[in-house]
Amino acid sequence: MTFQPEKLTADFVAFRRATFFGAILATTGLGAWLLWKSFRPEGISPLEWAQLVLFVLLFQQIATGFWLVIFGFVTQLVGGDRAQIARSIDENATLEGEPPATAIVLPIYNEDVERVFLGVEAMWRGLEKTGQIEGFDFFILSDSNRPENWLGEEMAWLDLCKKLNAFGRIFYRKRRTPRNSKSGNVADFCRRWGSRYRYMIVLDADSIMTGNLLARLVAMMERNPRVGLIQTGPQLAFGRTFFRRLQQFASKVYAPLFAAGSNYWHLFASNYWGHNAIIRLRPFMDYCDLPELPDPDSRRRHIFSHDTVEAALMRKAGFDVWFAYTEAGSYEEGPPNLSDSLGRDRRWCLGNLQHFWFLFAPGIDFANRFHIWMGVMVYLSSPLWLLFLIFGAVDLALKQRFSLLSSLPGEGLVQSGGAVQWLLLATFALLFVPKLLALLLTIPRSKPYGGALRLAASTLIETVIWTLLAPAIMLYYTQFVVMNLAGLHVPWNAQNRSDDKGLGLVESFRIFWMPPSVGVIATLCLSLYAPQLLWLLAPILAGWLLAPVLACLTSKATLGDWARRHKLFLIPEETKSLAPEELNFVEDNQGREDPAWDYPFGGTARAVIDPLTHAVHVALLRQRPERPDETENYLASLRVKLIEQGPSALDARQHYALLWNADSLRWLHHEFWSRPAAHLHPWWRDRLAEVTRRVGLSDARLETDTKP
Amino acid sequence: MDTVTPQSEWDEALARLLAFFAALEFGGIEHRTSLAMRLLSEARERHSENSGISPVETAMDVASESLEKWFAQVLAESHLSPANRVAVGLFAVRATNAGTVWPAALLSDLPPADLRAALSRVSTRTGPDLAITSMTSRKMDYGAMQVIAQETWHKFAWAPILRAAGIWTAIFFAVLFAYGRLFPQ
Repeated sequence: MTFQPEKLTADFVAFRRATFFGAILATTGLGAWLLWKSFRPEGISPLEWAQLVLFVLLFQQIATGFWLVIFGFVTQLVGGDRAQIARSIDENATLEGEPPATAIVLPIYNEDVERVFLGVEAMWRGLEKTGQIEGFDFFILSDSNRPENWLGEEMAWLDLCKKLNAFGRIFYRKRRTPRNSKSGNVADFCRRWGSRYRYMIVLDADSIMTGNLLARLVAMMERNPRVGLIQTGPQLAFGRTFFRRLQQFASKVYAPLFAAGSNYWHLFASNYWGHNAIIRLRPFMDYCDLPELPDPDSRRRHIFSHDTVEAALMRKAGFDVWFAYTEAGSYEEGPPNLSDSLGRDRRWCLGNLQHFWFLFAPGIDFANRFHIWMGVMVYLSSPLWLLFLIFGAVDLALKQRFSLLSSLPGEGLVQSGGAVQWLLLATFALLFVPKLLALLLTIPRSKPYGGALRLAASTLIETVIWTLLAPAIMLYYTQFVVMNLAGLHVPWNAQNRSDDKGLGLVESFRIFWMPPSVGVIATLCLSLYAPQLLWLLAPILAGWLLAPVLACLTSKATLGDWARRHKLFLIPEETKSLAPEELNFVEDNQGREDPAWDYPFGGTARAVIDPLTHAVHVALLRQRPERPDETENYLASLRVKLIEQGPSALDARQHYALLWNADSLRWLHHEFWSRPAAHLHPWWRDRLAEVTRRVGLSDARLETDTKP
Repeated sequence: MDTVTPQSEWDEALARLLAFFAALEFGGIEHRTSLAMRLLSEARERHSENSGISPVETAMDVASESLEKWFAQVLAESHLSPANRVAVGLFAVRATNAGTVWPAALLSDLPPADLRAALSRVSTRTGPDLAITSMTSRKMDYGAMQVIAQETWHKFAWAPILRAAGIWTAIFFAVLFAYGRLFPQ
């Protein structure tokens, strides 16, 4: 019998929330009581009060994670949650009659072009197999501002449409002004074409969803008209670097329990993660356009992380938001290394902190407030942990120093009738029991994970490495929080890397110099003033000292490949026969991109030189009315400079301006092909030599010494 | 016959034409070579009338004009400007695989009817018909936070708050230190 969300009773919901939050409250209360008890019997000092307040804030976060897993584990044990949106339709349900118009939108920004379009192709082919392709259109919404990406996207779009005979079904839109980044891109789609579609499935550039799941999501929406949004649980895939493999293994083994626990309490008030989700467009367009924040600084009024707010607005408008966490077939990729991961966190941190404004806004659902609170705490907890550690260390050092009798290491820990030991035990239990339960649940089906032994070894190694990485991450999160709150720009000069390269050790030290510096200072201070605490804080100190080495090692694809060969961190999707065809398709076809234009200024060169790319690009540029003379003169001066002095004479913005101007590109194309080699700038002459060589002709007069 | 221009310049012009047509990926070597030779001969004639322009430029001008004329004949869309016609035509060539399907058709005097039909069918539109809808944000009441921000600080900024927090933290530790010194246990 299928689940009917509309028949959920208030009592049912209240019972679930009472049990879940009651458990968190009780656990946090118990922890706080144990800590209070551990403080000196003669009363609590101001420093201890500060610790107690911080502890309550932090311990509730750990307790929430723990109870999510416990409730998730219990629901899994009893055969899965009955109250889940995926059960509102039959397992083999298909749409009857004409499928509703659904747009699959991919906002992209300087992404790996080949990977994006392979993903689209895989999903198209998957939908074809379901027989429901007719209901779906794809929109690739580009905000890319790197010439090589923009040009590559246009050619890839054209070639894909040709290959799949999908003209008029797969669309490409390049925004001239990328206002409000991703959320602005999606809103722009909604304003232009949203009213043509009933549903929109939002993807990330690296998302892949199986055709079957895409069709099922539409069926779920059709079955439940009160539902405004269904989020799926994307599984990480395609991990090659050790870092990616760690993450995808963790997300495969632990995430299902967290997800099941989340669904247990929030039911129809789920969160939205910004991608791999289906949205009912009408209410989304009517109610979910992002408001401006009441920040006096106009640059900070735009909401950076749109998803959580959109879910809250959808709920505020009276529509349900569900989490289809048991549905297989939703995938994304993780960052390849710690540096990229922190680069992403830097952006997310600002977005999540902005959500604080909504925490006390009237009309926001309680569940959404809790999502917002948890999102804020993901980052805010780091400075709080750091403060807690500092306060705790200072407090213990003072106690040791002033206590005449406490000359033994760790004496301060045992002066409260063992409360501290219980507290430590409880904290470790809250942190590690979830992993243990996830492991227990996975062991019976451990074969695709490399067998029970390797599964356990992978879990152990993953736990050790994350335990060591966590202190460094805490420092960076603290930096992000403090700088964001102070309204300062947070610099992070990491580049998006392919799996193959990874970080060199020197580069890793250049990026991650802060944790070892803090580690050395902390170790020296502790050695001098509180040597008895060194053993207690050893995991944190080791994490700080080893951060650059760990970041370097985990970024290596070779280490990831080694782990895969030894069946460590394996997930079922890495076995061809168990992976969906869509994933296999992308994996099998990656790495065939033509590297011909892969050099500095290759994008501009391609637009100017390659007649087909040039033609496609110019044909796709929207014709603009006449520009003022001033603009025309400026563009004319730029194009002359480009051809006479080579591309390094222009900055990125100037290159970009020329690429938007068809007249300039035509002129440049004509000049490049019409000028005798002797009259070309050496850089362009080298490009001409390359083109000539590539088509099987060569001319010694074209060769110069300059290299791109 | 031009006797002043060195042969090397005409060789360069031929090489340029061959490279250009090869980059267009239209047809085989034989067709591209004969095409280049034909255009080169036209270029020689034009150059004899105006030898101030280099052979390479003359040859490429001839090639561009030939493409414009040919696409004007092949494409059904008449509203295109000559400059844009070549771009749209080559877009259609790429979209239909015309270079492979009709390898000897480029710049031919009598382009095949099915090629013309195929190229004319291609549209450069990258999106469906617009269906403009208004999507504007609703006024958001931020409640207590906004009230606190406006009524307490008037101009809400984090920097002074952090500075104040820093000062209070320093005072806290100073008092704590003094307390420890004054009342040792």
